[in-house]
Amino acid sequence: MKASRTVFLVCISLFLQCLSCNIPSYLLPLKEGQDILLSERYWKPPFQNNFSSMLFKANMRYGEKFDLGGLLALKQVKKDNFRAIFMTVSGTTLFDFEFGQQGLVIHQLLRAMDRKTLLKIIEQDFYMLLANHLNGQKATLFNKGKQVLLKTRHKQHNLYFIQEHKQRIIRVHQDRKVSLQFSDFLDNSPRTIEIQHHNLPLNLALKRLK
Amino acid sequence: MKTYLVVFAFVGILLNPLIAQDFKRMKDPTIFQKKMQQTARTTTSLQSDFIQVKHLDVLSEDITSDGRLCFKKENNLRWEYISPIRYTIVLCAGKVSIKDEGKLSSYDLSANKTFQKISEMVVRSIQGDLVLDKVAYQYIFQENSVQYLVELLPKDEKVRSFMERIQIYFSKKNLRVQSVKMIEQSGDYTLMKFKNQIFNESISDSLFSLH
Repeated sequence: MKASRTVFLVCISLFLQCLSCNIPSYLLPLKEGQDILLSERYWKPPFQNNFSSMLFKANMRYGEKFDLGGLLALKQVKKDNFRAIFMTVSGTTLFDFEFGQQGLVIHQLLRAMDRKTLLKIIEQDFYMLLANHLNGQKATLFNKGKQVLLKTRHKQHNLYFIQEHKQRIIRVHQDRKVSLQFSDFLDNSPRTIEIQHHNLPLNLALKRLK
Repeated sequence: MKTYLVVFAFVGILLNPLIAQDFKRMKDPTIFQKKMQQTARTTTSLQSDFIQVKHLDVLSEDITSDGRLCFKKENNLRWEYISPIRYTIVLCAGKVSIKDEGKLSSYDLSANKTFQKISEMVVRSIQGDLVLDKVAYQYIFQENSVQYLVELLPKDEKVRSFMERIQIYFSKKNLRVQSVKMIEQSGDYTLMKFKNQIFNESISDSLFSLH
């Protein structure tokens, strides 16, 4: 009886611990980590500082409310700064944003999309995708077999980067709310990207065209 | 939100530069409009390949897509992108259907007046039928030795926020639309050039149904 109560209390305590840290459960348990500064020595962000531009087929879906196909152009404008231009297949620019150390710069935005909540979501998602701006930031490194987990913070959120072979990031989580999955790599650069929100039915799928 | 996004996706279709050479004000726009109406009246069908060029100042390379369009009177339109992605838009029987790499979605045109208006404008432009909407646009009629150029300047603030002007180029030879350019406020533009045009040949109804 005493033993089962102890097990029960341990379970409850673990459960509460999980809730408090909001870490995706499959990443648990985390053993003692190493404090580091994010740099080339420890990680390689999905889009490294070595390309001029990329074009993706994009599909943005919000439950049954909308399902929009389009094109996303990503262009590095300077070190750690990227332009992301989302347009319809027929060429209408929906948004043209710049992400970098200085924060979000809006170059162009269709008025119908000018909604605070939507902009905040897009901003957070792209900061996770284009993670270069995190270079130099404090993080904790956990070794997990063949993978490395890097935990850092950005704007009150915990970010978890899962990197394999110490070379390429395969997943990113923002607490338990958003996850990014990278696959189909070419020269360590992902050709397929999926951004999934878990607290709202929003999904962005990207497939690299060139 | 959904409706707006579909509307804006569709607006892009209207978009297009030929390198404009020495265009001057058209001497008599009324005669030009009458000729256009006559051409539109005699057009029962149209098939054409197209090349779409999206120019963004920030990119060193333009984004080029190509595809094919089919139009059959009264209001049947199939706009099909073949490369770099497969994407088809069909307007038929008051509905717009979109097939995006195998995934099909449909919208009722009557549910949204703006969308309905835009679809009418697309269909008319393809036929060359230039019905002037002076409430929505200011029109500038120009010409050079080989082309007519009609520029549409949006009056509505909402439209102006994403589109500075639309330029439609017509051949003087056959009064057919050769290209359309939509210029955004930033100076970026989408150019659509039409080639291999075939007029008034029979087109199967099955082309205007997506499964």
